[in-house]
Formats: sequence, C-alpha cells, structure tokens
Amino acid sequence: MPFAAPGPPSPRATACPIGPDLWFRRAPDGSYVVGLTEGGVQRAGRIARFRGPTVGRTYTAGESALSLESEKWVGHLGLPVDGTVLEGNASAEADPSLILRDPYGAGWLYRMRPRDPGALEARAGRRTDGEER
Amino acid sequence: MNASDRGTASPRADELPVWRLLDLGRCAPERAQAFVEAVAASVAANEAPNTLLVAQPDAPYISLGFHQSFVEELDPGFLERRPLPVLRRVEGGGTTYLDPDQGFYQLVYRDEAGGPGGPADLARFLAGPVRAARSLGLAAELRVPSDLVVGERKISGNAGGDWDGAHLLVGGFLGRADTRTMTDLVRLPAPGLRPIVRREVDRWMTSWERETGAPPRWEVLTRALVEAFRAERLFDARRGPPLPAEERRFETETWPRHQDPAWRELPPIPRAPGGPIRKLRIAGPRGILVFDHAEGEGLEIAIVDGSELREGFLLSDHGGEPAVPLPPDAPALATLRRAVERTSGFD
Repeated sequence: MPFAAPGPPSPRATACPIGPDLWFRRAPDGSYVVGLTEGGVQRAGRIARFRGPTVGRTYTAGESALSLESEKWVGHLGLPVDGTVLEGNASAEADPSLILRDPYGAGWLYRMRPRDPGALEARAGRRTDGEER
Repeated sequence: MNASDRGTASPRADELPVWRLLDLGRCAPERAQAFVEAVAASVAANEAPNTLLVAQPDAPYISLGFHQSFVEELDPGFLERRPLPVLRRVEGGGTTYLDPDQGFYQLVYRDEAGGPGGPADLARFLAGPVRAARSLGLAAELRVPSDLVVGERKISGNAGGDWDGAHLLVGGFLGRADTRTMTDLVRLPAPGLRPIVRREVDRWMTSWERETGAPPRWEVLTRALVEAFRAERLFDARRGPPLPAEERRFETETWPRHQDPAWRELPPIPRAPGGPIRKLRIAGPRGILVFDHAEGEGLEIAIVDGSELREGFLLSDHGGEPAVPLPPDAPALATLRRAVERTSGFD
C-alpha cells in the first residue's frame, strides 16, 4: 500500500483545552481564538441564544463576559485569563446551533489578546493530537 | 437567623436542608422582580441560606428575558399609551406581562447545598409548584423544560440562570390572565398579525380563574408551596427576613443597574440570514414564525407546533388588513412548511 502523506490536522486536533469547557488556538498574529469543548457543549445543552463578549473591552479572568441560554437557563462564562476581546463570532450569535455542530471550527466563541499570553499557555492541556504547542 | 439555620451543613439522610422563606408580600415591581438578584450574592457568599422568595407585584410591568431586545420585543405605540416599567431579568425565556393577579416564587441556591444549576434543576425543583397546584385542586403537570400546564395550556412560566455565583430559578402562577395586554404589548411586523397572536395566546394560555373559577389567596398558595417542597424532599423553608446587606445591595447595585438604559436596552442579537423576521413563542412548542413573502411583497405567517406547520397565512401588505388563510393545496403553504422545517420551529 503506498504511503499517504497525512493531511492538515483537524480543527479539533489543534485546539488546546483549558479546563473541561474551553479550548484555545493561537492565531498567526499572536491572538487566541477561544471556543467550547465537546464536553462544554454537552454541559451547555441545546443552546438557543448566545451573546458574545463586547469587542474592544478588557475583562478580568472569571468576570462574566458572554452568556449562553439553553432550555430557558442562562449560563455565563468569563475569559480564562485577563485580556481584551478582539473579535466576536457574529455567525454563532445569529445561529447558535453552529456552536453545537462545529464547536472547534465555525462555532468558535471569540478572539482575544491575553494580558499575559504565558498565563493562558500555562493553563492549557496538551493538544488533542499530542503535539507540543 | 442563627448559623444552624443557614443550610450549609450536610443534612442527615432523614433531614431536609433548611432554606429561608423570604416573603416580600405585595411590593413594587422592581422589588418583586429583582430583589432576588441582591439575595444571590449573599447566598453565594454563604452569608444567607438558600432561599425561597415569594412576592406579588403591586402594579403591572413588563419583564424581558435576559437575551431579549427591548427594541425588537415591545410595541412602541403600546408603551406610549401605557408607559409600564420594563425590567430585563437575569434569567432566560421570553417577554412576559406581569400584574397584581400573579404571584412569584424564586429559588436562590448554591451548588453544594442546592444543585449544580442548569436546565436539569428546572425539572427537579418544579416538582414543588406542580405538587402545590395539585394540592389546591389544579390538575397541573410539568411540560419540560419549564412550563406548568393544565391540559395543554400554560399556567406558569419558569426560567433559570446563574448570577453572582448563585443559581436562580424563577416562576409564577397566573391567577388571572390579561391576555389582551399580553398580546398588545408585543411588537409585530404588521397590525394584521395581532388578532392571530391573540387567538393563539387565548388558545394556549390559561389561569387559575379560568380553570377553577377563582385564584387562591396568595398566602394559601405560599403555604402550599412550602409544604410541597418539603413533601418532595427538596427543602424545608422557614421564615426569615431580608438581610441588611441584601437591602443595601438592592439599593446601591441592583436597582441602579436596572435603571441604566445600557442594561435595559441591550442591542439586538444579529439574525440568521434567510430565517424568520419574527419568532414568537406562545407557550412551549407552540408559536408563530413570520417570514418575508417568498413570492413578493407582504408576509407569510406560520402557526407552528414544534417544527410542524399547523396553519399558514398571507398578509398582503404591512398595513392593517386581516391575514388570509392559505388553503391546504396552496403552493405557498409547501414553501412555508419547508421554511419552518429549516428553522426547527420551536423544538
């Protein structure tokens, strides 16, 4: 059987988990994209509404920044570390089912610049493909 | 209240956790609606026990769900005629009209002594109001996730959320239902839609008065609720006053936040392209979807049960003309059915 070169890693494989609910992926410009893990999606339930964090605002870690509503329950999430939100995912706000269908891809939550990127990296688990970050 | 009443120690298997029964009685809308938010921080900090708060508003007002937009939800003409207070709650769900013919129960609790929060808590705790209603002769049932219904009609709406480190579950009973006001306050894309909305509200909402002839006195219902939560082995609620810290927090943090337009009038969440221009949940899986007419000017109205189209209407313009029912063989009805299925309706 001829050797087949591996394709690019899947979005899931390149996501670094931060605790059970969130993942991040470092973008080429040094910012970080953050989303819900599969476990986080399962815990959230059937998400009906999602309001992302305020773009341009600096949050402290844990401060309520975004909200998810499923089956009439509103849960709040904070940023994993202090930082500034650079971009929200308007597509996921308009269609929260994106978060359920593609949590590691089109259903990302926001892009941020941490005050101390090292603090975020230090909180991360291994990438799901086992490579070092 | 002494420390032993604070519900922090794990109860023995034959003991129930002790909660506070905080009875605000008849009070101003802002207190009936939002004092619970001031309680949340005390409960989260273990300064107060888990709490069952009961209250009745002494005047009408409107409550928006946490994710709802003032501008999208409320009819400006109605607010001009009846400038009711509008409060945005921290829990989920839709727009509600509330008045002195309704009574509220609100649960505030911490993880370790109450539950983990989230939709599963709704079903667990709503066993209490269901049992209370049944003990007073109303054949109420829980329709998951959060409605109490009699037959197919909703008599109690409930919602939850996490706030300030505590979990909140809020709901209420409709003693009498002012379905005209419930309908008139809703912003609609065309006046011709309002009679259809009213018909659906009358069809799927009910009240204690409609079911039994008269609502019970609120004191009676409060006693029934306390007994029901105990009988369901959920908690034993004992009367206790509001704490000075809760009063202070309400005056200095909660109420000022609710008066801030930036809190009350959050910008609308963007809408998915191609989706309905208006989505109105009436009760549970029943609701109304409004689409731009695929064939030209006007609107298409879908009366929906879950993701199933029950009826379709055309509104020929955006004026006050009545909606025209779509016959079963109309091609527009098939188009509308496909549009409803794409949105998943109210599943």
